[in-house]
Amino acid sequence: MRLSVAEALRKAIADEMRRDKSIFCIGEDIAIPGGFGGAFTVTLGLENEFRERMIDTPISEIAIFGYACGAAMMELRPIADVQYGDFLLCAMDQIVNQIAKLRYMSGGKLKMPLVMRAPVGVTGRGSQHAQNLEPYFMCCPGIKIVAPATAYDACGLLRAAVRDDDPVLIFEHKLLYGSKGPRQESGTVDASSEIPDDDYTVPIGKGIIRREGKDVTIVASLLMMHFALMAAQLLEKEGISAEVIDPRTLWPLDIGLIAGSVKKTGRIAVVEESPKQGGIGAEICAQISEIIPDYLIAPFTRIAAPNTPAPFSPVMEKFYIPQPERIADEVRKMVIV
Amino acid sequence: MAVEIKMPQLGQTSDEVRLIKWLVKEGEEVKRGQPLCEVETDKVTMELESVESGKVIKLLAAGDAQIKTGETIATIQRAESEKQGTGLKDQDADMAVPNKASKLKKETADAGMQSDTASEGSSGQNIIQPPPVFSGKLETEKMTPISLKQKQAILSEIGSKKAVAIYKRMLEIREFEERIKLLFLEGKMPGTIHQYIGQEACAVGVCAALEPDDVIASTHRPHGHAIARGVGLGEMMAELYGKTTGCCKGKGGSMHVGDLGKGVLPAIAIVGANIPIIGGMALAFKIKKEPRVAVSFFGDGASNEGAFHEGLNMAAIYELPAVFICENNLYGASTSIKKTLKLENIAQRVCAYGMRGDIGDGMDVLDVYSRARIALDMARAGEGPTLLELKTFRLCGHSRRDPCNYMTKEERQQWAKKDPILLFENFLLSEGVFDKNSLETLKKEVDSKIDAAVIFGQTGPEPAPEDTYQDLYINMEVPR
Repeated sequence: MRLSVAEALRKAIADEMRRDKSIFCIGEDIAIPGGFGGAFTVTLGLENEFRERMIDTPISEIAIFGYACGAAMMELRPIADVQYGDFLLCAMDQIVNQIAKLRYMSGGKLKMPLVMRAPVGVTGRGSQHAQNLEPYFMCCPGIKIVAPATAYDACGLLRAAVRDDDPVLIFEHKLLYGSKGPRQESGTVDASSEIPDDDYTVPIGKGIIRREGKDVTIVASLLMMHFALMAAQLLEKEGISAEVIDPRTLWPLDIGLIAGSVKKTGRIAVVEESPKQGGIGAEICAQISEIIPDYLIAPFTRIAAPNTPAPFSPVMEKFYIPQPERIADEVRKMVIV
Repeated sequence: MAVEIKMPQLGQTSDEVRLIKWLVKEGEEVKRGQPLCEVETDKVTMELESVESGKVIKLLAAGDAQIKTGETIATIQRAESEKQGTGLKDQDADMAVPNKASKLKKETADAGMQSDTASEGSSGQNIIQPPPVFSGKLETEKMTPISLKQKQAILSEIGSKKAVAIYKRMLEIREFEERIKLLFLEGKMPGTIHQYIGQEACAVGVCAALEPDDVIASTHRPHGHAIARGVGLGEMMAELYGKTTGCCKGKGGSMHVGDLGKGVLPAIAIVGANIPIIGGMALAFKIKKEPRVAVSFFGDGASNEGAFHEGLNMAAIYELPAVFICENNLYGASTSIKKTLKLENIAQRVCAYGMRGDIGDGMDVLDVYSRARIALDMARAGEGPTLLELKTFRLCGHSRRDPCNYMTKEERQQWAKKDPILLFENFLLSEGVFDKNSLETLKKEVDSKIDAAVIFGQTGPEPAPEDTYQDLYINMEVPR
């Protein structure tokens, strides 16, 4: 069955809630009859089957994550949801100080099986509803972070996240959801997949080679993974063979997979939709430089958004997001000296 | 055994202290906690208290002299009764919080914190009326302290065994705090401490009304709540020393003591942050249809946090089995509540949430017990949450070495007269629950429990540095 990312996430949530009565969803506008099913339709209609376990909240992000944290310690498995990833910042204390640390502070005596879902992506809404927050959490020990770029991975990673006994933050991209009806986004990229009927999971901490190549390794997740594939196609016409790796999990990173690829190509470029400062590229490139410095035949390259908030103007926004052409340009410079 | 008294590190900056004058003489008997001398740091003048009871053998430092910290200033022959206790037994059988779930019904328990009576459901029904939902009237409410008659009725309901258990638990908290204050001044304990001296009736009064499966969460000032709920004194002390035998294996420290297995969440030291977490625990109980209640302890300062507003509002709209205990000790660190709150009472804030609110005397353990009992019973019966404000006072500094210069002496003296332990002690003596002799015995028991806890804490194994990497994830190594 071919599903969009939003449909695949919905299927994963529904399957898991049928399988395990301890799972419940909590968030804003997630299960209001006649409503949206969350900001991007992921939970649309789930209230029909799981009324008692779909908790609609006031606009109270501290409470959403605080309540999820408390419930997780009382043997439930919450899936907490924000409409836009940007709102995670309202709940930063609960996420970083409580959810991420409580097991550690307890000396490993308690469990925090909790999933947090957050849409990201620079998508025509200006600075406060359209940014990528992955780096804010990559520096936070205690949370696992996944970022599915396809519907197959969205379903498999969400299942894995729900079954994990540690807190997992799942970043979903607004332009990859394939949301329909009034919640449809312009500029959407097709990330739909054939979803098998079986109960598969995608293991947390495992990346995947999306495209094989021998000259350069491009690492990218979410929308940037799709743009990296487009860039690789452009480069192929010029005789440059790019390998594209989708880490799928941002923490713990599958650094072994990336290093194996870089050993082969000798070059690494990391693409991200967030600003370059303190970003995903900084972390991945630093790790690669630490563990296999002798394999790099060119300096690593970070292809990122400018070190500014996301602008609104479509002209500036297009400049802000690394486009396939820009990715190809930067990578070309690495290969052709 | 002769014990050396050393000059503690008293200031943050200087490693020298001026000894102004001795307050004791050689050959004099001193008690632990008794002032030995007056000292002056670069910031403050204070009395240095003895960390031992016994006879002063020798005063090694002269009066009016600069002394290096760590230098031995006197030797004391430790009194016989001060010998460290034998064996470690953190909680008497009497005091252990029963593990068998009694759920909604109050079962007869032999002793301890469990009720002695076999009454069902909402006992205490006529002693204090349940508080109303504050219905938007914002005029000043007043606390109505319970009468002697009411106290006698509560005593007869809970029985004398439980009353003594409550008294003893309060004393354990007080003695634990007094002892670690001295250990700190001696420079023998790492970290920082926020002490609970003066507020014991709040934690013990509420915890005495809990059922075994209920859960509590505390704050950066958590020792009292953890002890009240039954976390062992030894593992508490070991945690303060950062030992592997601590209740959080040395990963938590003073501000995070707790043990969820005993119904105490590792304490949440971010002001107000435990309120939504407790709400979430209560939500879990409601979803799972378990007759349990989650209880959040926090201070007056927390009521100005966003987490308080979001957490209480959600608890009210979902009608959760939660009780929110605001221990209003009148100061957020050094700032008076008069500067941070326009209302007379924090409990009035429930008007904003359509929730029940009540105000109790946080210095009177029976007042606290009875109000908490009503709030808990109502929460358990599905009647929703309550905010219970307890008027109290910390008879100690905000944190280590705080001389409380922001309070007047009169205010402190006024509140010291309401010391919750003395208050309850006098009540139990006058009601004939115990006499002076059995009281002495009880105090000695508590003392030797603290002795044993100190030994357990001090002699426990240190963690290996690499233990840092343990206990973060369940099924994954920390990436290095």
